[in-house]
Amino acid sequence: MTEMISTYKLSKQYDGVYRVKDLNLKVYEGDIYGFLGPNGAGKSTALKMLLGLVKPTDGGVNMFGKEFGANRLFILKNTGSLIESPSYYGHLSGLENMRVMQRLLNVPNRNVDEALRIVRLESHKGKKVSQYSLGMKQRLGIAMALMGFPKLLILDEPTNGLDPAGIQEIRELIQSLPQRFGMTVLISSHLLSEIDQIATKVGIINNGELIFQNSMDALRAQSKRTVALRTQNISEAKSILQKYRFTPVHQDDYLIFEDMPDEQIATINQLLVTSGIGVTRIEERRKKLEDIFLELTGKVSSL
Amino acid sequence: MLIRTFSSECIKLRHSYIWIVLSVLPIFSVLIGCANYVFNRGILQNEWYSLWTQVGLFYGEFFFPVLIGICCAFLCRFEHINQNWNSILTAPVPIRDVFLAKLMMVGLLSAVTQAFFLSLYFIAGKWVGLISPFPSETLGWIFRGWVASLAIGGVQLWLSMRIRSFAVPVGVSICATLIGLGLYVNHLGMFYPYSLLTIGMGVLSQDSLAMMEHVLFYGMSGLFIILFCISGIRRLKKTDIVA
Amino acid sequence: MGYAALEFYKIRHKKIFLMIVFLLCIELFWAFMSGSISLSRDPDAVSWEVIITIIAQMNGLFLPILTAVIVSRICDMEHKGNTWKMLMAASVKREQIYAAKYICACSLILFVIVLQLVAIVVFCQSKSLTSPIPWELLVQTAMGTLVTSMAVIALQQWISLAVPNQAFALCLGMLGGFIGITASLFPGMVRHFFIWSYYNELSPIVMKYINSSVVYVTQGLSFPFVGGLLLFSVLLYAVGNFYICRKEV
Repeated sequence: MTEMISTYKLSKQYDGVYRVKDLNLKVYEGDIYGFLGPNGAGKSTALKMLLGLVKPTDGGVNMFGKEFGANRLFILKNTGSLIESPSYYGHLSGLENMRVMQRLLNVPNRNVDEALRIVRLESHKGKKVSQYSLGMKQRLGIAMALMGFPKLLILDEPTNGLDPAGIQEIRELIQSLPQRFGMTVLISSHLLSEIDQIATKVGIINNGELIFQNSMDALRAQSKRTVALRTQNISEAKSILQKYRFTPVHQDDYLIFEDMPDEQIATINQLLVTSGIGVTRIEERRKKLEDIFLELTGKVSSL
Repeated sequence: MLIRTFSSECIKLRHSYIWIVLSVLPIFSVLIGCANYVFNRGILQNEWYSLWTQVGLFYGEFFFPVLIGICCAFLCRFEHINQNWNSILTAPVPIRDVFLAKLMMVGLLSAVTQAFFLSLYFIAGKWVGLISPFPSETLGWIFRGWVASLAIGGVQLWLSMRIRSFAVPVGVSICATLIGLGLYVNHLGMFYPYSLLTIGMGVLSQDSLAMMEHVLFYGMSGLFIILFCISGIRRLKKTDIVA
Repeated sequence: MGYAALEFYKIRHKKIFLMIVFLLCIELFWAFMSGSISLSRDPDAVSWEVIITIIAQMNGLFLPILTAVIVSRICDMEHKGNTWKMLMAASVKREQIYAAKYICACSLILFVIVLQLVAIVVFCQSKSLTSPIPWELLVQTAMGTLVTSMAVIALQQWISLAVPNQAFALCLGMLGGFIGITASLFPGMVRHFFIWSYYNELSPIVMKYINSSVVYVTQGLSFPFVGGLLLFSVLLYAVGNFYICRKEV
């Protein structure tokens, strides 16, 4: 797999405080990489460093296997981006805004039409952008990023300001990009649910540091199942089960076991019932992805 | 590359009405200068040259440099709002061209203004009934005024790119212009972009420049243009974008 | 009054005072240079009247520009930050904001005028003019300048808030300065139609040419003009206020 983005020890200091610290981001071709973190974690700063808008205090950026400083034009030519809120000239129409970018990107007219069609702005392209709603400005920003049909697309919170239908639409669009146009997408968000639905890889940043980076499946695997058991006499049940080499944890009137096969649960149930302890509940519990996210980010910040 | 960047600048100026500002000030200068000429015909006997002193005084001394300041602030204002530096600096064009395209735009606008002023001067002259032939030096004054305007444009762009407000760079250009007047009077004008305009346009003294002065004028203008371009481009490259 | 204090709070970090002081320094430097030059030529002919007249003429050029810059700075932040909507939502009436901005601009200009007076007194004392400080003249000068400024501020505020593109407001300020300095060239009928000519017009001292020598005549403040100008300020303010408050946000 080709590395599209790789940063090494990327850091940014403002007034002696690290906004981003030792970031080692790896994005491979064909990925939809979800860059996740709470507000103010340093997502935008990191993305701006990828594009050369913010100069790193330390470390560096490689994109398409090339060092950024010496290959700025090549890299930017193959990258489309939407950073922070969308950029636009309010006194110009949507189409004229696209034309400004078109000249800078040097792409044919059909790219403009195609990009406007993809984000479904064709019917509003003659309107002044200052009269657009936030969602329409966001679509325009995405259209501008798409216009060059780049190999790599960097979108910073692209669903901001969109209504639920719009969010769904953009989500489907982003998911289709790797197959349709062979793009690699880096998308940032503070919403885990959003990343959960579209990303294949995920990186979680908190207080400027990358605390998790792996495939989405690896993150999901962290959400292990447990089995909770409730009986009429908890402490007696615990001591009986410990005799049979089970290791339950006593928590809130429940005995908690790590995930186990069905036969073992049946065994436990039988053991307790034959010992005269009534089993009132057996529940399967699953840690939600949100809990993992909170745990990951919360734990770090409480340190 | 530069041409593409420049043509994108052209699109940005649509619907902007900047031309109103660009035309009002020259019209006013010529109107007032003309009226003054007509009322004081007794003293002002040098035909076209006298008319030039009258119409050019406020335009060249004051309005034109500030007009350039307004243009530069205007060209940077719409980049400062709505995070447009983000998009322009992630576009695949050299950063050098971003600055140079803006300076070219300033040059184009000031050239149009100069041409407009020249035609107004010609019309005004015919209208008040000047009979002597139109002096060819005028073209030289207009051209040198334009060269000096590029030097001022370089300084003002440099300022407007670092100061996000609109009024402050314009305010600075007003102050700088007034200081320039003082330097001109003290014969230091050659070393200050804002008084180069006064010298180039010959508004205070119509004596043609000596060979040495020509060299010094173009040399200093070129020096200021190059100096502020380099500094402006360097800054765009080195500093972080605050959107 | 609370909202006016808020306006002052909003222009913190905008370095507006620096700008004022800077422009004022250039004006005063220029004025006192020409004052010193005439003093060195003929020490006896220089009096308070001369200095006040020079300042009044300079004000015709500088104050319209300074006013345009100040008002533009106060108004532009609402355009730039799109804060009109926020202010509306905070259930503040637009009339109150308009008034607050006007008061804020007026007090800044008053500050400028006071600084000017102080500078005049300091300058004249340092040149050891023999006559005592003519308080009445100075106050009249300040009054005249303030009344003129109030009209100009009302006009600038209207334009600055109505047209988001501040190039127009600043261009108007420049035109104002241009008219202000050249006003004395116009015939009286034309002159009285331009508010910027009153910086000079309302000066309590008139410069008259008698037998090709300059004589300074103290005429005092012309109350019909002051009244008329005040009325005109109110009119400009009311029209601007009406227009801005009914504009769609």
